[in-house]
Amino acid sequence: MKKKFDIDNPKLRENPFTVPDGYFLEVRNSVSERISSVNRESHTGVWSIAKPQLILVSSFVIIFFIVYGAFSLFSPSDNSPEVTILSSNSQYLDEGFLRTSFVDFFDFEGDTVISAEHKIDSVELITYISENIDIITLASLE
Amino acid sequence: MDDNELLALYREQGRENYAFNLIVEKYSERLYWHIRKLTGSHEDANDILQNSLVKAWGALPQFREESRLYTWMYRIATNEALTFLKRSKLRAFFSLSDYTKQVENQIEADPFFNGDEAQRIFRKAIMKLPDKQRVVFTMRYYEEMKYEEISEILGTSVGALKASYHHAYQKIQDILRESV
Repeated sequence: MKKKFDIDNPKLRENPFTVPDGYFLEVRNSVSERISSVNRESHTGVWSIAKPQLILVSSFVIIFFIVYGAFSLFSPSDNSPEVTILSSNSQYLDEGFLRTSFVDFFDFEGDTVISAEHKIDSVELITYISENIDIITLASLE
Repeated sequence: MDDNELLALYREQGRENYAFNLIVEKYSERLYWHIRKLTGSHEDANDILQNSLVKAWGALPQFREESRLYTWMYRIATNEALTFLKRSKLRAFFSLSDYTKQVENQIEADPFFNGDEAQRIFRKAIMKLPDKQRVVFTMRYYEEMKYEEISEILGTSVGALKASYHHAYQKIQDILRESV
């Protein structure tokens, strides 16, 4: 039995494997096909990889410019009259000249004795409102 | 056509594919048997051979003829086979299966194994060797390559190769002794 497994037995050195019929011809054809496709890929490779990415980037750029253009066209410019009024009014608001909250109009002195002396004449009030209607409207928007 | 003529043909404008097909025709069979003896299975050997040849095609423009063409191609095929074996072991490890058992079953069920029972047992013993020892043993035992030639292919010193072959030889004898 031991002799059977003598490593130096020439029988053991023989190739025990086989391959399917026509295998080596098949390998040559298959490799030839694969290297041809590798060639094609390397010739068109850079463009085929870059093309979809370039399309994507350029479409984003186009969309950006369209949106930017639309905003530029339809948004009011800085030196338009409406903005000037708003900014000047906001300055009044900031400085406390225009106070429009409920507390501002509440007469703290209503219960006092001297409050009667400070009563505003209704005609005077209507005149004031009609003259300053835009400021009051804007202040109410605050 | 010798290697120099093949390489000269390869460097001619527009004849690369034709020259490489000749190289494949010349070396594919020898490389196949080398890989087959390392892996055992025909399907694996086929995949490794084709990948090696495609890699050689991709790397051929950088081939500087510092070694012989055949040695260079042999090195690519050997490295490809070693990478494949390493991956197979890892796959077996992560799937919690016994790699040695898998290999033994593969030998048992191989439809392209034409050897007798002694050769089957011998193959199983070879497949139990560590990958690098198996490479050295296969090249020396089956292909009867000189140590200098193996050294050129594997980039290992002749002394280390001799030691490696000796260890492999001893291990196989031990495995065979146990299996009797």
